[in-house]
Amino acid sequence: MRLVEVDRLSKSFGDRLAVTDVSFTLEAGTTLAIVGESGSGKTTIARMLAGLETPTAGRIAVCGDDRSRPARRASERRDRARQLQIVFQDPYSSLDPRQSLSTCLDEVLRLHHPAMDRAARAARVAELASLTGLDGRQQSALPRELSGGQRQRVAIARALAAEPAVMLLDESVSALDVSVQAQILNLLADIRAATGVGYILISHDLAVVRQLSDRSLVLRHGRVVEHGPTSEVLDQPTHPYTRLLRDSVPRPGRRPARPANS
Amino acid sequence: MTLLSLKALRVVLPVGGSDRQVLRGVDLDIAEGESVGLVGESGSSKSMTARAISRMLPPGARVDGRIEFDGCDVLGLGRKELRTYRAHDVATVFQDPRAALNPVRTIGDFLCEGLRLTMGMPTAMARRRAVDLLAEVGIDDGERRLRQYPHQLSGGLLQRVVIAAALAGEPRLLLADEPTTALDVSTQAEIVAILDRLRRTRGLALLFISHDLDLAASICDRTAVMYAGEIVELQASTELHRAPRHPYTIGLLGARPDIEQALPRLRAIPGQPLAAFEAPPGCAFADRCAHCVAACRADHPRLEQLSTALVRCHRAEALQTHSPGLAKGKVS
Repeated sequence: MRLVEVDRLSKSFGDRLAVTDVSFTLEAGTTLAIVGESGSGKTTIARMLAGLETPTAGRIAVCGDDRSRPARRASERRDRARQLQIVFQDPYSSLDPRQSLSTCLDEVLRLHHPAMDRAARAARVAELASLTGLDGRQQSALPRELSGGQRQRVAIARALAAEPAVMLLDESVSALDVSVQAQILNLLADIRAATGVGYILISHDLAVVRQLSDRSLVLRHGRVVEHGPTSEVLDQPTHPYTRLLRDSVPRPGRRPARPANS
Repeated sequence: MTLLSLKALRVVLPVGGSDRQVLRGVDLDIAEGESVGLVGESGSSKSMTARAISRMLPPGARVDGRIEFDGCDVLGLGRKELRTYRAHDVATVFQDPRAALNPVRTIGDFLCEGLRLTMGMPTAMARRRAVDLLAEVGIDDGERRLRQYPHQLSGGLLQRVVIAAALAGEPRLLLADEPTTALDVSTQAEIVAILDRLRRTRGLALLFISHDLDLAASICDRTAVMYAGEIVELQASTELHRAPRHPYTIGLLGARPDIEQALPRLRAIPGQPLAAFEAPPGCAFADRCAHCVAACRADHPRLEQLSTALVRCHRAEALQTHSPGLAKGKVS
């Protein structure tokens, strides 16, 4: 099933083009990686998908519904939120410091699933917590009592609570320690297999992209320079920029190349 | 010849009325012109090690043990000697170059201030020297850059400016604390290449602090892995990747996704990293370790020689003989 369809999307801020003519699709149960460095436009694309920016031109459809125009009513905005949820990079600033995991998830459930009663919500909160590997004690803990990895699990649980068709992972594992990052990457793969959710993974880390994504899109200065199955993009990059990114990844026993003057 | 030597370095910081140990006995030597990586996750106190070396610990910190630079006792330096030490012996480059520069002063002001004050250069000479220093870090149009403000430069260029400033006092040791973490990968590669070249051309010793084992291995002769305020393994960087000895190092290398291939499942280390003050009396890694036995919880392991490595693990020798295939082959 096609979850996301983006067609010739562009965004300009004043006379500056942030995103030019970007097209891609996302199928259920798969992951599309958007790779690029700072200024490549990847965050602008994410913000347009989430409805935080309005496209200058082009079309975005999520679950068949057009969302190129701003939502007119609160109910429409809520429907869009149910279709697509975001997990941000920094779990220290993306959670309400006064909300425990349970109250945070309960709020999402009440908003998106008004038919659920209190007992059903409590059961679902427990289910989401166990799916994301958080125990009972952590359910009542405030964010400040949790580690970075645990907070990111809370952010993932919160996104899952809406039962979205698409999850937008905006550098969601970049700020985590290596040993914890592996746990979260495994968790994301499990959730995808269990629920059929589609991921849009925004990342600068090619190893993470290789591990989690099926298809990749490489952005530079707001334009797509390479697009295809992740294994092909990483193994046989055709664009020099993709090759540069690939060669910039540090590896043991390989002396860094001479720096390019700029 | 040994340039810097840390001996049983312990640091305790006062946090909200109670004392917290951040370094639990670090021993490390850096030879002249040598580059050593210090790798660890959050809370491992790798940055605190660098701050102890440059005597930049927060107020109230209690330091125990010895820090020797070129045979001289760093902990005993007076105010004036400390100034000289920081200007001419040990320079530091931090993670975020934007935090290191005053946004309302030009690049020229920033670079020349140090040259005028510590090297006693007249302004015109300082500016010429600043242009030379910028050229050394790969910035060719130095004259123009000196007139610019930090906001006009990219993060990668600013980090080069900070490195140029660190070179101003002709230091013999450069402490680089996650110098590329805030930068893009291609910029990271450039900065690392500059550090590597400077080290070779100037004979500069380098302590490179990072959370990335692969990155450290790409420019460091030796790598020390820190966990909960102490070094758990130390050996030549290539060896560390080929034959890691400590279960934590093995775990770290195995947990990282592989750029060459997607793995069916990443070998995550269970649990989360401990901070130094949370460390139990035995081995700090015991709770997350698959090879933990009773002795690991009872006795604090010492850093001991095992073939070419120094390892802090009771089980290292047994693991080496019993499971040679433990380490994941990640050397390219």
